[in-house]
Amino acid sequence: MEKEICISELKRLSHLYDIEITVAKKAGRRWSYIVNAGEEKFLPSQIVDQFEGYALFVEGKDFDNEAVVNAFRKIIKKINAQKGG
Amino acid sequence: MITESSWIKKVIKEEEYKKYMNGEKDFINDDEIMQKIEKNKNPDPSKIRNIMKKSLEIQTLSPDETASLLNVTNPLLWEEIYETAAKIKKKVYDNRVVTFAPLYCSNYCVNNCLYCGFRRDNKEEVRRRLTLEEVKRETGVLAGKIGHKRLIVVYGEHPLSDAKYIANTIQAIYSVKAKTKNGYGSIRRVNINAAPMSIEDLSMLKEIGIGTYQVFQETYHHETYKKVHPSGTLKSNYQWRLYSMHRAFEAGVDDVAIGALFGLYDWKFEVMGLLYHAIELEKRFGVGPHTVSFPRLTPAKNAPYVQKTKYKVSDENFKKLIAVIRLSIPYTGLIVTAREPARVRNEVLPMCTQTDASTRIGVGAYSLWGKEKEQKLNRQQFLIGDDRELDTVVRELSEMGYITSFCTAGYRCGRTGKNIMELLKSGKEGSFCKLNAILTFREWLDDFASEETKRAGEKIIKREMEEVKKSATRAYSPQVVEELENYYKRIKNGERDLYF
Repeated sequence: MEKEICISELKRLSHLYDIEITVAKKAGRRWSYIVNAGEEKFLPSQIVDQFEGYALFVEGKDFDNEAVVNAFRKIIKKINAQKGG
Repeated sequence: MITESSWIKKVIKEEEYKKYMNGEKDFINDDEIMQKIEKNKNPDPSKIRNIMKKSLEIQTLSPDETASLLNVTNPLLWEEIYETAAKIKKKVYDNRVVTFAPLYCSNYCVNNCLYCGFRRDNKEEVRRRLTLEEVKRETGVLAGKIGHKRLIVVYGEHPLSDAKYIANTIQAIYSVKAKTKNGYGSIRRVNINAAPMSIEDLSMLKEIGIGTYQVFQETYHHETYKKVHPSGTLKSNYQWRLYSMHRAFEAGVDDVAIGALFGLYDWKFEVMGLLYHAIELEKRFGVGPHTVSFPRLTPAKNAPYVQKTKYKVSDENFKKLIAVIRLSIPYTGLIVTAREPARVRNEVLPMCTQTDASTRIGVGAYSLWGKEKEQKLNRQQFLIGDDRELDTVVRELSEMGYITSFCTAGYRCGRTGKNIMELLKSGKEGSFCKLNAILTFREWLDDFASEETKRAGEKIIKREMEEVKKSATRAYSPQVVEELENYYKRIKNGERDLYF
């Protein structure tokens, strides 16, 4: 269910900024894969934001940080709302 | 206080594995495996070459295809298979070999497996469970003196080493920062080899942040399994063990490792069993095994089955079985351990992805580092065949043309589960492997290597850097090369743990 919610929005953002985006869930030192979008860049994957146990990893530069973070947080809220509902 | 017998009664939860079964049947059909091995005898060389092509495209083989490979008799065709296996390894994982060390935390065990030194009836075994302080001391040696970054932590099945104890030891290991030549060393990935667990226990371990969860089926052959695991013991339940990884996936642990102990039953059957296991996991969860292990039976104290088995695997067949696993499950990591003598390990390394070094398998043995190296059979599970130190192994790998990797990046940036599977199958993960091998090898050479090893290692680093720069096939962008050079310089200047 988490994946279905995320994928379309992530695709739009990765295409818009030419970045690779991965959403992962924290488990101790481990970040377990949830979903990703965009072409692999082989660049260092940077944590751009952490929110409610999830992280937004981005490979790439020159993107609108605020826009990507806002979208990521909306996605996580949707995931959590669906879990709650 | 909980007694051993009351604990045993609570471990197995039938409802957590029976739901995956078809009535009384699990996904290993012994007759079907035998028939497939029989049916695919005398395979045509052109069929075998087509199978090799499929493997090179990183596609899992069908049971019939694997059975055909197992039935090859022509030595020249086997040479082609070995060559293909090495090509696949290079395509998926590049030119690197990841090193790790086992850390035995406890050798108490409620089971009585006929091939194991930890068996309950082995009264000569000196039993010990490390305290958390002792775990930290062992880790200090591994991370501070030897330079390991990755461990496989091993526990016997016993209430003294239950999931809670396992969780505590993992946290203790991660907490250690050990002084090195240029700063501090730490263990960055803790994999565990432990008994089958419930979903609840596995969920707890997942929250701690384990790397890979490893459970070997030992033998996939039902009758043999029953014979070597005496009834009434926890381990005698074949299905509770077989469906361990199903429960792991349910608990959210998405890096799982399988294996068989070769020598308990016919090696061809066990290879088929491993393939069926991988296919089942792919089908159910979309993710196959992160690694496959293929230990061979080695001498153990008071373990009667080791001496009497008629299924001991020769060195020649050992090489064959590794090649067939490489071709059958082409995306998976293959681990060859210090059970094997150096000569055998070097022979099969072109097909493998991971190996251990500076290996001590006695409980508490790393704390005797530099004081005592002799193996003590009454304090360990079996005898190892290769006690070379990491510095020697690294140097020899360099001389053979391999770069040693201490990479632990994947699980710290979401390259787990389906993501890592897709990267492996598409050959993209190999590109990450190359970059992270260069960076982590640089760290290790500066922090731990002898001068001789450093000289050998630097030649390899230079070659790998040049390959990245001129890489046409893997198509690193100029930005990647720039980032690599930047990270490399920063590591040379003392920064640590930078990765792609």
